[in-house]
Order: sequence, then C-alpha cells, then structure tokens
Amino acid sequence: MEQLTRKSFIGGMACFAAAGRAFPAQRDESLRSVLLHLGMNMWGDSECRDCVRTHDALWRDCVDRAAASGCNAVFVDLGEACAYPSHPELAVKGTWSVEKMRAELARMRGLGLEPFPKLNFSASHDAWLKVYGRMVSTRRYYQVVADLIRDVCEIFDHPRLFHIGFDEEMAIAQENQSLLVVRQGDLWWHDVGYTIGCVEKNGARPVMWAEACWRGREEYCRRMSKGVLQSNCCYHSDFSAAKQKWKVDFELQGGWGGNRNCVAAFLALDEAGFDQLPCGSNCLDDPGSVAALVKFCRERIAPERLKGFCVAPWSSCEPDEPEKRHVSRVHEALEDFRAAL
Amino acid sequence: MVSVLKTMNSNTEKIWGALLHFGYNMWSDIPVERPDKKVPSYAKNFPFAAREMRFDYGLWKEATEKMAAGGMNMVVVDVGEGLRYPSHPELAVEGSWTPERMAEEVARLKAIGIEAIPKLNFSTSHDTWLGEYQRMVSTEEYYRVCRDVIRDTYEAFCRPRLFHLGYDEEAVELQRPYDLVVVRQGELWWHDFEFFVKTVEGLGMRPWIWSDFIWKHQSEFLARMPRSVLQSNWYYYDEFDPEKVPGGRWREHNQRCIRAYEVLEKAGFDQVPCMSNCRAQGGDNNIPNTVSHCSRVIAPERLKGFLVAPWARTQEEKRERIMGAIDKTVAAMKECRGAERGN
Repeated sequence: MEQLTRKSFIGGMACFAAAGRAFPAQRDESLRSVLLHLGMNMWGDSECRDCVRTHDALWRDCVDRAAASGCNAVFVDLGEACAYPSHPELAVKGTWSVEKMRAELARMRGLGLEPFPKLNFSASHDAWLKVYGRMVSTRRYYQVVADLIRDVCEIFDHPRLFHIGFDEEMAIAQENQSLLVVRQGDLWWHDVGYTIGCVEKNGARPVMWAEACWRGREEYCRRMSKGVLQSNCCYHSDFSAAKQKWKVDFELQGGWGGNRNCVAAFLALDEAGFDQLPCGSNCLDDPGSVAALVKFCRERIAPERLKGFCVAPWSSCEPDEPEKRHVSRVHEALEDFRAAL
Repeated sequence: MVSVLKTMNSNTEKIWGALLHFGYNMWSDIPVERPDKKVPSYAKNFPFAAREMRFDYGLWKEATEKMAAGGMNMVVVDVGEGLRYPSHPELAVEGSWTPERMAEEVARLKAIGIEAIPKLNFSTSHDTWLGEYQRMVSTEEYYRVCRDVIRDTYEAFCRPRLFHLGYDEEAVELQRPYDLVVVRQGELWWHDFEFFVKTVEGLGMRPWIWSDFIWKHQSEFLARMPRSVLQSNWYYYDEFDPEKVPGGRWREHNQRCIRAYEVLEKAGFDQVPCMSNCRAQGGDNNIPNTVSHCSRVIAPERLKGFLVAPWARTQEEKRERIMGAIDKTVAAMKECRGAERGN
C-alpha cells in the first residue's frame, strides 16, 4: 500500500467519495479477492485469438459485482489484453492501452477494490507471450520477463502483490499445444527464482499458484521462498480426513494424479510456515466447494499466515453462448464467494 | 527435387555405412560440470553436455581405415558441436574442427573409398549441440540458424549428395532427464520437418531421416512423408519374427519397429536400414539379421544399403564397440554380396 502514488491516491479517494464506499483493502485486512480474466490467451495456441475477447461492459459489470459481493481485491489476469510499453508486439486487436488500463484501475480502487496484476509465466499458460513463449529460459526471454513485470508494476502504480502464475507446467497440460515446453528440476526453480526476483525488485510481493507442491512437497517446501504468497487451489467440496492425508504415490505419478494432494497441501504449506491465499472456484460445478474451502482453511491454517481468500471462476467476461457459459460463471462464483465469506 | 533424385541416382552402389560421432552433445542438456547431477536414477548413464570435444582422432582414423579395408563405403558423420560453423561460431566448443580441417578429412576419406555424409540431428531430443537455439525451436531465429548451419556443413563436406537430419525420438519420455523439455506436436512437427527437407533439397542434397515417427503415426507418416526422403528405420534386437520378439511391455513396440521395414517398402520409400551392436543383451546378431531380413522384405531397387550405428563416443573406451560394429558389418556385407552373386 505504501507504493500508492499521490496521483492514484487522490484519484482513488475521488472515486471513493463519489461511490460512498470504503477505500481499498488495508495491508492488514484479510484479502477477499477474485481472479478476473482480461486476457484469455493462456491455454494453448489452439485456444488463442488475435483479439481481446473480453467485453468492456461485461468486465465492468463483473468488477462492480465483485465490489458488491464484498471483495476488496481483484487479481487481473492481463495476458494479451494489456499494452506493454516495452513490448508492443505482444498486443492483439483490442488490447487495452495503458491509459485505458489505468483508468479502469482507478475505477476499481474507487469501488473499494485493490487491483493486483497477474501474468502467468508458466510455460503451459504463456501463449500470450507469443514468440517469447518459444524462447523460454533464453537470455531474450529473461529480458522480456523483466521488462513486462516492470511495465505492469508501473501501470498498476506499484501494487503490493503480483501474481506470477507458474502452475501446471507439465507435459500433460500441453497435450494440445503445437509446441510443448516444460522446465524441469533446477531450471524450473531457476526461472521461478528469477521471476520472483523481478517482482521483488519492483517492490511487490510475488503470489503464485502452489500446485507444484502437490507433486513434490519436500522439495517445494525446502526451496520455495517464504516471501512468496502461496495460492493453493481446491475446487471440490470434499475436505474429509482422507483428503487431508498426503499421498506420496500421487507425487510420483506425475500428470494430474498430484491433484489429489490439493487439500493436504494447505496443511503442508502451513506447517512449513508459508503465508497462504487459498483459492476456490465454481469451475467443477461442485456446490458448496467455495464455502467448504473457506471453512476448512479458517479452521486449519494459522490465522497469522492466512492472508485471505481468492475465488477463480476460470471464465471470461464475454456473453454466454447457448452451449457454454462465460460471464454467468463469474457471477455465480462471486455469489458463492459472498455466501462463503 | 529433380536435382536431388538425380544426385541419388548417380550413385547406384549399395551403401555400407557406419554412423560415427564427431559431436556428442545430443542426449542431455544438463552440463557435465553441474555439481549436483540430480537426475532420475534411470538417467545416470546419460551423457551430459560438455564444453569440449569428446573425440579421439586416432581411433576415428583407425576405424575409417578399417571400414575402407573391409569394403565399406560410407561414414555418416554426426557432426553436432564437432564443427566450428562459420555462421555461428558461438556453437563451437573447445576442439571443434574448422571447416577447412573437416574438408581435408572428407578428402582423405574419399581417397580411401569412404564417402562422408553429414548428419545434424534437429530432433529436439537431440539438439543440445544447438546451444541456446535449442531453446528457440520454431522461431524465426531458429529457422535462420538451422538454415545457416546446414549450409555451413554442406560446404565443409564439399557438397555431399545426402544429408542426415536425424529428427528421431522427439517425445516427452525421451527428455525426462532434461532441464527443458521441448516437443513439436501435430502440424508444427510437420511444418518444421518440411522446412528442413526444403532447406536440404534446396542445396541439391537428398534428405535422410530416422523413420521412428512412423511407429506411432503410421497413417499420417505414409500420407505426408515425401518419397524423396531417404528412410532409416531401426531395430536393434536379434529376433525379427514379430511373433517371437522379446521385450515384455516393449513387445508391441518392437513389433512395430520390425514391421516398419515392410510398411515403408509397401509405401515405396527408399530405405537404408539401421542396425547396431549397442544392445547389451539380445542384440549380438542384430547386424547380420538386419541385413538378411531387410534384403528379403525390401525390393533391391529401394534398398539403398545399410547403416550400422554403434552409438558410442569416438573415444578409446568405446573402441571395442566401434570396431566390433565394423567387423560385423563387413562380415554381413560379404555374406550379402556373396548371396547376390549367387543369385
């Protein structure tokens, strides 16, 4: 919060005054955050489009609903939807200009929402990086990563949190991609460390998905920096004793088998002393999953390390289609979250 | 295309070749000097990447002379980091040969009756020799570098008629011990393959590849693989009867490897079957058995010869493997020639 500039502070206060709402979350306030997708080019090249698919009006509607649902923060998954001054080549048709982005961030602050950026640097989710996604772990790639993080920190007026993604970097998650790229072992750790360093250099605290822990608890807890806020995910409602038990076999299986450690990972991360931002979702259509997550984590994670919650609808702000729901999933997730909190 | 077929047809002598290594940075992107070689236990024997050549010229010279003396006529040179590419000197390691020295060696080989054919393996499972460019696969820069090194090699080898592109084993399983897994899938695999074919053919050479992609992608391979590409299918066990092949859980895989010779033949591909003495068990007779099996199932006009691959560094500790491969190939060749004369 101390990184807020005078300009954004005044802008935020003006909106606050206009909206008659509370100012964004204070540092010591528990986060009630939602992950919203501005960009969507994150799930393989076959799913990519050369235009931003987010509808402005629906985006604003989702943001408004987030505020109305009691959220105090939004993680904005930027991807291809934000113009990066250092790399304009990453833009697609409809990419938001820096000015448009900043205006929306100010509006969010005015609604009582603290905006945090998210750039997913997992090689499974970096199609938005275009050609640089095919240069992972090269000097040029590292330079681009540093450039983008710096750009985004400036656009967001130096946010206190910065989500770097880094989830699901495994072959099975890239079966449908034309180029499969996976960092393993020391190289994965090197690149995670490098990205964390870039974020910290810009004064933000890194947030990342903790699911790599599912497939290697001991190494993860030993090598991961405690400075990184861990967002472990669990999207089902079964938090039974059986689910709480760590399953070494599933670590070793590779692939999606590790998912079965998602509940146990909350406990493992807490035991290891990590700060956590548990993440729930309505994406599995499991009613009560978000409420179950909130209840479990409040009971089992030490209060001083439980920094709040996040809900991820894993959906876009575009109109629903006859066969596929988009924005209504976001609405539903926010409603679940409101009820759970 | 016309020029390629012309050059191929200009030499009708059957190939009796050996694949020998200049470079060896092809099986792991993890450097030898890494203090903690924390790789999976099954990968302990993987050859790590080195910053210096692992190549004994004395053994190389002796091996090629032995080949010539025995009547073999081709060495496929796995170049890798073994050449200081004029266009990309950054790929050189300590001891990489200059193009001039390589050209002299090609001339020496020619003088003793051995045709030198270059091989650069562009499979992402075997391209550590490409340095940082192995991490830029399918980018404009990658294509430019690949085009450059193919041209450099073509010139250093004094315009050979064939060029082996490798392009084998591009699969996740093969890269488990690697730092960075990179695999082209679907259309991109074909896109890049066609780029390499076009690049090689553009220089008047005939492309040559390992055929193992057919094992799991038979229908698309047969539909899309140009017949101008010379095929080297490979299988390294003794048993060629698909019903009797060993392998436990690999049995079905081995059956596919064996049957690929006939599948390729029926589809009209020219072939140079690859054989080896690299199997510690069950492969002692692979070389004579490959020659006899393939001579039976491949039409003489499409059987362009045989290639033996000892899969060993050209270094003294591998002398026995390399020399043994040559001995067995010479023996099989003599038997084959005898049978042909008898017919």
